[in-house]
Amino acid sequence: MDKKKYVGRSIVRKDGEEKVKGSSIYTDDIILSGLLFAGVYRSNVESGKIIKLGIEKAKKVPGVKAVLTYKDIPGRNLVPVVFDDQPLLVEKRIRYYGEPIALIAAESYEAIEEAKDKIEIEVEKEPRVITIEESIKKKHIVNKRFSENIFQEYHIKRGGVKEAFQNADLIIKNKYSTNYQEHAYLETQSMVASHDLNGRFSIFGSMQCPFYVQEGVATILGIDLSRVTVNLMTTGGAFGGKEDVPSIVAEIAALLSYKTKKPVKYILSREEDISVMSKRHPAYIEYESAFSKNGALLGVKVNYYLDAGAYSTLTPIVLWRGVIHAIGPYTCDAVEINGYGMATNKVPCGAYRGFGTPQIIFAGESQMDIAAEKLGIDPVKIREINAFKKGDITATGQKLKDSIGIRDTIRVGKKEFKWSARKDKIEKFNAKNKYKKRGIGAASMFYGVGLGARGGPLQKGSALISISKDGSVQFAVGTTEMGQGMYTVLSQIAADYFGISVENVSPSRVTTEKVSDSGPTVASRATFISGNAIKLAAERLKSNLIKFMIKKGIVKKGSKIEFKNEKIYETGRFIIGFKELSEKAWLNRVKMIEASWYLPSMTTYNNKNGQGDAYVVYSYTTNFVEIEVDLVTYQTTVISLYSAEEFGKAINPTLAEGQIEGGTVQGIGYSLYEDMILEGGKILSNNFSTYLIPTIMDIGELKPIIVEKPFEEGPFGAKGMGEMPLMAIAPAIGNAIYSATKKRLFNLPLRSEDLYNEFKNK
Amino acid sequence: MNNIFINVNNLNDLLTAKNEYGKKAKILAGGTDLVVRMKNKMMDPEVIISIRKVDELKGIHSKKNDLIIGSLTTHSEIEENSSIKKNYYPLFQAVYSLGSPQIRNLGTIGGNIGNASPSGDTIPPLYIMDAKIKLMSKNGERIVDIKNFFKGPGKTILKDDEIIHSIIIPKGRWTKKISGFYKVGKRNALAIGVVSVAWIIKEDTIRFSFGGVSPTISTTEIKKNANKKKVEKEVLKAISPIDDIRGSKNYRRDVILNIVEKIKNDNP
Repeated sequence: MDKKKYVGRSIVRKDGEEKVKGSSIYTDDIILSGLLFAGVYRSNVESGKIIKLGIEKAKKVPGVKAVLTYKDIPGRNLVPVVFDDQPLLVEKRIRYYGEPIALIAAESYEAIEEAKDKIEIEVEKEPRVITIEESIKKKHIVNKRFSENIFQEYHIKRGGVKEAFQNADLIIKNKYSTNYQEHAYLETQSMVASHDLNGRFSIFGSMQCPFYVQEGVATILGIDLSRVTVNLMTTGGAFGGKEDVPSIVAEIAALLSYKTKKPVKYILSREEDISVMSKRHPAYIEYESAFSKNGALLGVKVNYYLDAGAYSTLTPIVLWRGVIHAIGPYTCDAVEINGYGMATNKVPCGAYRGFGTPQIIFAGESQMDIAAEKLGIDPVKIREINAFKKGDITATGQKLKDSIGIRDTIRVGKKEFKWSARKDKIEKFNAKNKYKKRGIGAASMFYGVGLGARGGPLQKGSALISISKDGSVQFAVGTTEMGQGMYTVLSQIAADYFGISVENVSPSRVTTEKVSDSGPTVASRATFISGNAIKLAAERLKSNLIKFMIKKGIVKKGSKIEFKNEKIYETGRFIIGFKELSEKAWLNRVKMIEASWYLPSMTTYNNKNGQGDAYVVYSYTTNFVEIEVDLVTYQTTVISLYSAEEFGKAINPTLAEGQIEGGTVQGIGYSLYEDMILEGGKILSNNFSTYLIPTIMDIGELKPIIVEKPFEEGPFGAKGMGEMPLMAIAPAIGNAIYSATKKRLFNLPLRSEDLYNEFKNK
Repeated sequence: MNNIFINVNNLNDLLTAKNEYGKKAKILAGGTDLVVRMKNKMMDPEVIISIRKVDELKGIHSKKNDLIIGSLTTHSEIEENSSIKKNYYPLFQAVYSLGSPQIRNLGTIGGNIGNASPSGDTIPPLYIMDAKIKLMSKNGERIVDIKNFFKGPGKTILKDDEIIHSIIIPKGRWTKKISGFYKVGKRNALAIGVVSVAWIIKEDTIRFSFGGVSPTISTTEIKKNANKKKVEKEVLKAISPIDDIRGSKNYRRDVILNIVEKIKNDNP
């Protein structure tokens, strides 16, 4: 019998104690001899040409050690992502407000501020593109390389769309728009760069993707990748905001360090961070759906536009994920989806939990509710009618084979939420209350796990595991711990493969020195990719130990060997303790270290027709929400929010629930509170007194519900789940507002003022 | 950038310092506003006078006819005072919903008044309770009606050598039953009011004061039996809302009208 298994148990997180005690070491805690601070002089126009730039006076400020422009870059002036169109420093043309022009290293922040004041600049303003509409109309071409202002476009076509709409009983056509969302991680972007031995560079920082940062630093300095080591510090939240932009932060620190020959720390203030770092793309969506009178989704036509900002960064991939998921978790045989990533003279957008999908889900799931009402079908029922079953085909023509949990999330969530009983209770409440109206809403979604076909060469993972002579196990992976709990989850997985106590498993600091490029820590992929990589390495090590035991005659060849309860069993009979075996193996010079290489199943995508097996597998969520609208102020408050999520297997249920709760709160913020305000391309709401995220007083009752449907290829059946909790909150709340007030809002966030205007303009 | 920082230990030293530096000096009480403005480079006073050790300005005292609140009394202290919670209920509600616990622990009522923000939370309740403000300088003191204290957003009648000594509220029984404070923020905690309303019932009349809808706090009185049209007319006479980052003119106007109507309906 297995006394101890860790997978499926809510053990305390490995880094829990140090986080609670405040003893975790963050980038800002790094102090090195001769450390300098970095600052960035940025543009104050959205679009223009630099005519003159004078840095001599700034250089003379006491305490200032370097003032650099693009001319000082020894390598390529580039932030490498997908299309390589973004320079680190402006050469001539400014394309967004806050674009870096000069870098300053100094002994104090006061000296940096003084140096910024002493930089002399003359800029000739040029026409600017602020909205998606202006970009489409080509009011100005943001970057001549993209002559139509389109960074990337995708077209998915499947089935007879024209016929589907001709045969439909109901056609619903609407326009939707969504605003930015700021990541609001607790720790702002931060990096330290320092010289190492023999012309090597060491980077320490807060990030999701050490291998992106490595490439960025090598590119800007013009040195070999293998001369750059990137080390992960404790990372205080990321949510996608530390996928691509940490490369910029590290390049700045590294360039200044290279020039001054001193270690350099660059930490952004909250205001700078919100103003110039990446965000969720604003979107404009035209969504047309065709239904039969019994509620079947017959056809969908979508035009999806993302406001990418001035450089393409991750837009090609963000947009791709959005179009793949545009229909939602529903069977639909006639599909036409067009996606466009549009250039504007604004801060470049990038990755954010959900990656181009929450915007389109808001539209699709609102459409679903509108259809339900028009057809007189319950909103949950219409989702059940259309939800994927085994063997169904996605919009990209992918046949779903395994671990399809959408119907389970609807069924379990509906029951726990008491959908029907709640409906009756609300009717009574609303009849009694003049100024408060309650409503309920639901929304479903699916989400491809891992990078998918557009991730190309990045779909891989590596692990390095070693067993010490005392029987403790150390593992290294290429994905990062950023607060989500990866160290703990992977330790649980490793502990169970070796059958040892999780106390004896130790994750080592993530660094580019230990494993090969394992791709980014994004796309809800860390558990799946690194978990599988750990499995492979553990199997190799166990095989080394078994071979050794056979050689020594401890066990017989061909018999069933099990590793469990910190012991080794042969056909059920205790043979030796794991610790004792480790010591014996060490004495006999057995290989106690193994690296693995994991490649997930093949994915495909045909750019011509938008067809292919886009992702290895999908995870599923249905949200149920009750809200209250105050008719005095038109404000909406969440009463309770249930999230039923299916992601294969919860390795650590408490951590998974933590992800669900955190994501839900971010989703509530995206729905009701977070409203980025700009003046042209300048972000005005650049701190937390103007950019409002929900507080504990604003979130109501949260109830995470985990539904398990193991996936064969996943470690212990796990898929991925980090992003889902946020993604379908907004339409659920929008639908609930409709159910309370009979007013529908088509723009995110769902502003009190917009609801007020709906009441006014009735 | 190179500010002079003066730490005064008593009222006399404070008045002397204020007399000497006048306009050049800014008072540091809780610092919840001043420090933020300095950080954001919106303000860079030559002299900062920290008054945090001036005990004469602290505390809530009950006198025969008045309740006296020292200007250096924090919002938390007001929030925790049982007499204020019971008999000065609108003020309790205002400090209860003000900022966050951290801000309430540092921020003072004198600071909230001295800032003269159109959305200063404590001001509407003080208006309807006919509060007076005691001002003091090296050369004497004066007591002014709160309604005459404000000149516009951020502007008061405070002279260069004067400080806010205390707030004097005539004794009353403004309980939960007959009074209240209604703040519309963009979230339930840590939000600046888009609009706010304080109200008191006096026999057949409801007295209202409004925050966030005019350059300073505005007030009006409405008969309980007034019809909707009359109510609207009176309210619109009192307020002059503007569009800003937190809300439009029309939204502010109509939310104020809704709140007034609701309070009227709730108190027939």
